[in-house]
Amino acid sequence: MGSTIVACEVRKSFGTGRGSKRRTVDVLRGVSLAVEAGEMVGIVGPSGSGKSTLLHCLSGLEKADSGSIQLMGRQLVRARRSSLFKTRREHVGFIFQAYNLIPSLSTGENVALPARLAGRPLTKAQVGEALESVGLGGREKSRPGDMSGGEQQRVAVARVLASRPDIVFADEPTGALDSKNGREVLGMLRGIADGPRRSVVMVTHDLEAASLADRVLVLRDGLIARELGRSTAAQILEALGEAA
Amino acid sequence: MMRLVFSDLRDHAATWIGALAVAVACGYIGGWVVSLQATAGFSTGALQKFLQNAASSVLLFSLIAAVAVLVSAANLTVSAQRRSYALWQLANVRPALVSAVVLVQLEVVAVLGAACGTLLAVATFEPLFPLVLGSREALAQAVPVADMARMPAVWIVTAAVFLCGGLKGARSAGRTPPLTALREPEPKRARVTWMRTLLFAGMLACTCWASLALTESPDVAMSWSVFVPILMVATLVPLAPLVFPALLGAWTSMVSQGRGSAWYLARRIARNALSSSTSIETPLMVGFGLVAGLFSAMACSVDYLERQGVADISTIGWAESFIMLGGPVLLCAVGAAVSVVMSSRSRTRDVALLVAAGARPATLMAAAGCEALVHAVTATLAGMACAVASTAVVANAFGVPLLGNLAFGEGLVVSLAGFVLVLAATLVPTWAALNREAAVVLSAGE
Repeated sequence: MGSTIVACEVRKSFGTGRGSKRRTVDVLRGVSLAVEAGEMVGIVGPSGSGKSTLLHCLSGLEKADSGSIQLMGRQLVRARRSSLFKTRREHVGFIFQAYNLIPSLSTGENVALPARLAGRPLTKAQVGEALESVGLGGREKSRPGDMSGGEQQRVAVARVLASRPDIVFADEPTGALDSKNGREVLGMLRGIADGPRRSVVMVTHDLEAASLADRVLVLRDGLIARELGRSTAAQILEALGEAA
Repeated sequence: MMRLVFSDLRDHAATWIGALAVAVACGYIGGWVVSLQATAGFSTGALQKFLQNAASSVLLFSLIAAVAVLVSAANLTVSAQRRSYALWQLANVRPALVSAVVLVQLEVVAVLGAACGTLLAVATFEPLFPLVLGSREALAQAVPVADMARMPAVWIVTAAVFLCGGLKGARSAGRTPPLTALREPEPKRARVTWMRTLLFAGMLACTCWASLALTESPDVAMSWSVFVPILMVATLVPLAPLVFPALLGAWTSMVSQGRGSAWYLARRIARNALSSSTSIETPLMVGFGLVAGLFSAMACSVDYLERQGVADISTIGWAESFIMLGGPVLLCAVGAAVSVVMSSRSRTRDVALLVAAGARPATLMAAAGCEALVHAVTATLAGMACAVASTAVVANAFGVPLLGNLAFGEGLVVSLAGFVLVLAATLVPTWAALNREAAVVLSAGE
């Protein structure tokens, strides 16, 4: 199996404060990892460890300051913005904690949007099928604002399923959901990774969610402190404690 | 309390700038009204009468646009601040105090804006007077006087309209439970409330009465026909939440949906914007309806006089056009643009979402341009309907044909001015949003 993502010594800093109080915070301090095709990788760590920043850099949503990130064979760190847009459009799907559906579009239009923007418009049947697969069949004309959090997150999953990206980045996908909805969404993410050669990279605080991953990376202070294979929640918790 | 008033104004200056711009525009127009009256005071005879009428005309024709635009600006500003007001309540600021602070803020912005507008009027009245009104021979003898001493009257009127326009929002800011405001950051959708229904019924009754009164005699029609477009526009405004979405859906569906992602996004974003507020389209519709309706009504009266064999009919010159229409055109264009700018906070997030979904920057800029076009065309179509209706009434009163007397060209000047300002108001925030990291914007929202 080929690698979907190869990252080497990725560094990212942010400036905070103004004028004389301005200071630089090193969020990522040299992270290296690889994600194989068809693999689900979980990234865990305490708040402020750089998990979301790492996700954003790996997906091309944010530019790393230095190092190397190859996604589907394309270099991201020194790529032009237009190239990053193209890479995301062709290969990447996102699921966010806050669902991040576009309020001006209906549910069906949200599902169809990434494929449309990539120049591969979906048929109504395909949109319907994607919504059906997440238990929202017949809700094409609903508005995001009229749906519950769990339903909105399932629409986000349907959007990813419909556009068939090579890699899905999920940032705290169950963070705003109750346990029942959270389990359902995690099941769908696991299904994506088990499906045809697609990878999932998931950032999560939820150790039960992380236990579904094929590999778990423990991030601390901008570095990968531990790497685990398929693990239980207890093993992941122990690894977090050891990394402290 | 005053510390809260001013610190919030300072911290959220970007939100209040739209209301300030509208207050400046109102102050500027009010400054011209006062200055025309002051100039009349230093004139005599026919000149004095003309100048007094000019001042009254500017006031009358600008008033309806001013009320519509000021009320929209005040409401939008208060809606945009819902989250802040919710946080104040969570910090134990009493609801009554929240409402009081909001009202004081509205008044501060109204007076400050009106003061800036009147200062600008004072500075430009004397140089512009001969340029704008000098085409009339009689006005060549007038000595323009910009009387600063009378300008506080403009500040007070602007503040009063802001107070009326923002009262509902200010009370709502205090009464809305803080957790409700924090959980539901978007205000309720625009709809035809019972107040709007009453207003529509009242205006419809006035319009019908005026239409019937016009048919009494051509002399009555000659004196009162210019008020029909005002009444017609005022009748349609309360129905805006019903009319605009239907009109937008109808005409945009006639454009092929395969016209690329930019048109696809623009249509939906514009339709969604209309579902929460009609404050972009309403000023443009008012501007077009007034301008086209007034010029059409005057064309009908000229047509009637020509058919009666009256020779040497004086038509409207540049001076009269400026007096009647300068105020509404300025207010409508500024009002529409301000409404778009006020939505820039959600635009930043929407742009980030679309970037994350794979949209190209060029697509998003094109979508912003198309969105401005959709707003302008929708408003123009509604304005055309008003102008046709009012001209039909006037033409019937005079017994002249409708079609030959429609003056859409002048109305299109308003549409074009509005489109340019709305275009700038959509493109600039979109460009600014594209220059922010999408990840930062989306993370901040979480």
